[in-house]
Amino acid sequence: MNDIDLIEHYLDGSLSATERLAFEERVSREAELRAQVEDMKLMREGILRASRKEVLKSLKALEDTLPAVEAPVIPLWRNTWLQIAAGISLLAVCAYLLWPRTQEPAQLFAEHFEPYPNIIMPTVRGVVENDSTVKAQAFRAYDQQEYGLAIQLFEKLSTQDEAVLLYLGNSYLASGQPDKALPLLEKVLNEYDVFDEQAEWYVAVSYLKLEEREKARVALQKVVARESSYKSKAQLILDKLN
Amino acid sequence: MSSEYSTIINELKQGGSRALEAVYVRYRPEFIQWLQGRLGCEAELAKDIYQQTILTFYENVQSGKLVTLTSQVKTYLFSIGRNKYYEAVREKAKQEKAKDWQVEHDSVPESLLQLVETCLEKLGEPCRTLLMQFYFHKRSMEQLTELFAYKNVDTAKNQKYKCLERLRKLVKSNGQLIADNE
Repeated sequence: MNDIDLIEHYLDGSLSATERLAFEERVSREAELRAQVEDMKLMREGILRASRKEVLKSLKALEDTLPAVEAPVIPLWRNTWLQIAAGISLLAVCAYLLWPRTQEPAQLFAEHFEPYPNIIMPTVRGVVENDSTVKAQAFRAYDQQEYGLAIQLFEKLSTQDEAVLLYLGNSYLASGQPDKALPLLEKVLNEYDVFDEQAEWYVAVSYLKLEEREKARVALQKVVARESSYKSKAQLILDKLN
Repeated sequence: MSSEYSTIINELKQGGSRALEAVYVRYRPEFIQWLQGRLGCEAELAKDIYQQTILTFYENVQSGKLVTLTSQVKTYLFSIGRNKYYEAVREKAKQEKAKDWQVEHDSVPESLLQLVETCLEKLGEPCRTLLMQFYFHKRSMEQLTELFAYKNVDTAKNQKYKCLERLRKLVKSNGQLIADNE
């Protein structure tokens, strides 16, 4: 093998380990060979570079003859701006929903007030209502959400019956008269025992409807302290009141 | 090795840059759409990157660097393209002068490489093409014999030596001039 071929193989990396060592040993001794290797390296690199430029040039020329590639149809979810916009919207909605904020008591009343269910004389479906007592009629009206009628009928009944007081109070609340409901419910709470838990809750609710923020707060704290079944609701409202 | 790949390798080894243009056209729409759509690359840059990608692919095939390819050619091109795109983005970010490609210079000075390129032009044909076909396109002596219609392989070998020697002398004399001017 002549020196030129040897240099080529050396630069190609195709010499065996022994050949390479022998060659490198020669290079270290022979300045002339060393210069030849450097020249060859340079020329090869220059030829490669010129070739690359030529290929790129021909590819560019080819590109110019080709029809433009149609702009890709970007699926909506890949559109970065839309993604960002969607993200911001979602964040805003979450923030709106989760942001602790003060609500108006009346609004809280509307959200949380539910007339106490009729557990005294429940209306049984399919059974002909033949009980024409005032009490039965009153509860029927209550069940049918005819609170005006229910109030009239409940008022005919004994004001010594705590159940009547509770449902009359609820009827007043449901018909938007918390001022009339409040004394009745307080009476249930203070003078009787059976419906204390319920009465306490509806007292608090009455204060909400009356926009009595401070009194509502105190009443709700009592509900929470009692550990009644209204506790979690009361706590929720307290958080929103603050 | 995927059959798609071995077919392309054979075509490139036989057809050289002609075959490369076929490859270029074949993967072009998908690649450019992918670059623009998926990576958000600008249309002009996408073309440049595709051209450089095809060049790198070609060099890797011809140099034998890419012996086996278990994935599809497309996948391989995409992986080259992705790197080139990120490289381009980094370069842009660094506000550096745009480079056409990354060459392992191996500490060969830029001015000397320029000199060789100029001398290669001066060298004229068939030497210029012969050297490029041999060193860059990796044509075998048999292929060169056929390509240049030489009598036999030995003639081709001889011709290559002569061309290389002429180039070396050109570089030396022009390099001398540069050295004298300095």
